Amino acid sequence: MIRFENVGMRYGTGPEILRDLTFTVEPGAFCFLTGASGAGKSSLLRLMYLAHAPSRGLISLFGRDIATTPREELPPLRRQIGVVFQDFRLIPNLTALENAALPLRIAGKTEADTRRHAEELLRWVGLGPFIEHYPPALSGGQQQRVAVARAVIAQPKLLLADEPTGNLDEEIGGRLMHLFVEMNKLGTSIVIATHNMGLVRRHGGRTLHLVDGELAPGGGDAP
Amino acid sequence: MIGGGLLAPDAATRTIPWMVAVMAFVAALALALALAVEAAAARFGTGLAGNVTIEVPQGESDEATAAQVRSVLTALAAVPGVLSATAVPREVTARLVEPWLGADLAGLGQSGVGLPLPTLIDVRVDPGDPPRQGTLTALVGAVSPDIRVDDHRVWVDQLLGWVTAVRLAAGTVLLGAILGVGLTVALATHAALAIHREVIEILHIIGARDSYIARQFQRQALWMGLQGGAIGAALAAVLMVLIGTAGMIVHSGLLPALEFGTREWIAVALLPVATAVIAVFVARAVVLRALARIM
Repeated sequence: MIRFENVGMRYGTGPEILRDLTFTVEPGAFCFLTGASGAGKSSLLRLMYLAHAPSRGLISLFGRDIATTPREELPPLRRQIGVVFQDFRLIPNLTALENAALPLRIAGKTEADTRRHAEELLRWVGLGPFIEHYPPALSGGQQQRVAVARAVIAQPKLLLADEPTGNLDEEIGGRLMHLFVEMNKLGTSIVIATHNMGLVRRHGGRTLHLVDGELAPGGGDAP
Repeated sequence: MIGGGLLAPDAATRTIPWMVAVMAFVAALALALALAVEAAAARFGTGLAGNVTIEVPQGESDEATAAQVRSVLTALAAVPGVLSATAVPREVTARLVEPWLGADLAGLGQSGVGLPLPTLIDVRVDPGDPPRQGTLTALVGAVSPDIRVDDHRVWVDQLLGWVTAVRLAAGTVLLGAILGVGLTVALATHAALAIHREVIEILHIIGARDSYIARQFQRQALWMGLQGGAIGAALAAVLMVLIGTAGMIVHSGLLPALEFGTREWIAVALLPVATAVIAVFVARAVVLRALARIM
């Protein structure tokens, strides 16, 4: 599913903030990405969701070497990846429904299908009464749930989440983790970046631990 | 429909239409004036092309002059390509020069005596098959070497030169306005790219193709171009009506009358479409170029 070989990453001409990353995430894996703030978790996720090119090394996604994949073939690959951002990144002048529906709209699904799916999903995450609300009118937790709905609506093969439960109360956070587990059972590979070790312990699974831009010794397993 | 415009209106979307409007206004006027001048000159030129004036100078006596006029008219009647030849009454000639010479000198004063004016012969020739060049000159020269033939060539050539100059000037203004619209939209699109950087990144990550992202900006540009073009064209239309009215009031008869016909109005009406098309193409090019730089 994901293969990194000696991958490095830098922003512009700055120093490498990720170095010598070598790991594999198998199809159907449920994986946590841990590390202290500034360790490089979000940057590693950026590489995974193809928002940034590596400065060196090889990244293979869904069996495709990203370096040799033509640029015009990247959008279909990105559509197989769902991303939940730490800062939600909702589009402010679209309603909750429109934000959640965006991936289906971009994929060219019919309007009726798009609306039905988005409404169902938003009701499921407890936002039924808020579907026509704009992000600024929603609380942080509600925005987070819209962001999660947007990430999962197209049933991606790979779901990447950056601190997905950070803004949620325990119950809603539990429901979202349950959603991720259910998606994982249906075949979606999950990578969750978090510094919440309690969450990691509760759910178990493989852990990639980052320390100062490098994977911790031991093949990337958490210490 | 789910999701209208993905991009929130920004300061540029409110101010750019007015900048486009100013350039559209200038372009509309330049275009309409150039077309109107060209049409008027063509009308005037066509009128002159079928017309030759023969000037028979005042002879020693009125009888001598009348005899020369008769000889010329008789000779003209036999020339192929001459449709008609009419001597202009002396009073009509006097009225033609009255604005410059005054009534007394034109011979229209109380004394009835003025400068010795030539007798004019208005010759209508077939524009499709006019007499050969030099035929008329040779013919009247045989009657008297002082008789002059004026085929208005000098005046027509000057008029054509003037029309060419107006056309060039209008073309330059039009080109400047088009460039202005393009540059304005390009700057606005660059600003919009910076303002909506986050939205672009989201769309990009979700898997939107460059063309999809560009369409969001094209939609904004289309609206700005249409709005600006419509405002500019409307203002130009008002001015054209005023110019047309003023032209009718001050029309002297010396120069072609400036009238805005169907062609000019259609050109102005199509201007919003033109500004919209330019805006859309520029916005698309700018966005695609910017997106090509990211992964």
